[in-house]
Amino acid sequence: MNRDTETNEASIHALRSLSDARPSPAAERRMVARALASMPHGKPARRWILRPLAVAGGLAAVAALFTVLALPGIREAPSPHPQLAATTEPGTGSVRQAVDQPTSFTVGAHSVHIDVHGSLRVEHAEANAIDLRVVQGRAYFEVEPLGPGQSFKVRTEQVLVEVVGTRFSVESRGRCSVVAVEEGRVRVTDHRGNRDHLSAGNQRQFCSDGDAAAELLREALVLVSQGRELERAARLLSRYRADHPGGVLEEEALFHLCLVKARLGETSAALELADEFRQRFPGSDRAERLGHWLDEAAP
Amino acid sequence: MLLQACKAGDPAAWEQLFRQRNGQLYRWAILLGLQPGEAEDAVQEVLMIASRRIETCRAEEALTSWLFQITRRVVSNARRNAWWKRAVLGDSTPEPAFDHDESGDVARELAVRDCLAKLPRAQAEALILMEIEGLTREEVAETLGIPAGTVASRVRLAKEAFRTHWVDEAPLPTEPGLSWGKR
Repeated sequence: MNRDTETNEASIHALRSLSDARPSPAAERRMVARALASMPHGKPARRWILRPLAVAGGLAAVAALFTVLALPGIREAPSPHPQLAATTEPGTGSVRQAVDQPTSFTVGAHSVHIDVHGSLRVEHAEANAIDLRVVQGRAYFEVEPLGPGQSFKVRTEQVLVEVVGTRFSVESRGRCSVVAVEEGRVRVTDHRGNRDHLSAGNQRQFCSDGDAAAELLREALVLVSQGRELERAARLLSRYRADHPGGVLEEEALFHLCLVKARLGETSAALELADEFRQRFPGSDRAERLGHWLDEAAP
Repeated sequence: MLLQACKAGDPAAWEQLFRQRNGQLYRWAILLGLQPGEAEDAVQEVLMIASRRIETCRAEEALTSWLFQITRRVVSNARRNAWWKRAVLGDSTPEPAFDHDESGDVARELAVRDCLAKLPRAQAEALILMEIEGLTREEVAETLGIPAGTVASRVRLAKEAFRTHWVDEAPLPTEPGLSWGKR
């Protein structure tokens, strides 16, 4: 077989190797969940039904727009916590803090209450679109039912909460955020795009720890697979192991760290890691392979 | 059966369709040049368009080509909309998009995607459908709306170009641990 034919076959083989390539199970779940969440409920509307509905919807939207424009927007309002200090009107970009006592304010028809030591930034405040960020601490929200085209969002680094008229709280603490719903229902989207709903009485914590760890390992494995910046890959893998001892991806990290050390010429370190791997994961088929390489590498 | 159930608005059928097809749609979006995050968004959009226009899919056998046609439009739009990012930031480093057992497979995936990205779009589409998706020439012709003879010539040119790029991009032998010491 000549070299051209070999290259030809290798390239076609490489192409065909992707014929059953799939996204990760997590990505699949995410895509299906997002698609289902975006589906209109029930039977899809036929065009002849859709048209009058669209007209009616348009009229409703116009009516809602007039209603919304008539709202005073962000205003001073009776506080749901009258014992608290009255506050001034917050505008887009402003930050509200509850330094040594809780504070309350209203945005349109909705009430916001910030616990002591909490801080909240008004990302966007228009009559039909309110977007708030809990920078730190806990904030409570009482949201009136929203009209068509209106939105009320609260976000932290880890989660986006979208509302349809409810009472809930969002707490941002370090790498985690906690969303608790007292009444009604909210839609939450974490920082990776996973969406879910939380109902009254439920609360959930959203943390970026696990994802950050996975990202660390992923970055290292990309470098390993590309055979570049191996010193950096080794540092990332070591950091992953130090930060997450006993993590679910420990086997992966240890195995690749061993290989990277070997490729960097740090044979004694690689041998030690391989030994550690065999002791910690004796049932892994990789232990057998590492054992084979160890035997080959042994003087 | 599934198509009919979807047309009838059965939510369970839609869920089944989404579960069956999302991996394939994602693969197409990646191979047509999107990054993983963009591809996930594109899949969602394709599925949404599919749910709105399912009436226009004439038969179950045509579902794959019908979905591919939607996907290539969505991907084209996504790439067009992101042109300014590429202009300002340059092409981002490709990220692995698929689930692999071995790190060597990741290198091969990235090399294949890189080679495909260097092909003219029409050639890449024909090559993907024929060599990766395993469609016949006639099926590719129907999917792309071109004569079978044109498919044959596009695939031939695509293979030649792909092979040329492959010589430069092919990953080294994959198992990194097999060679002890610095390479």
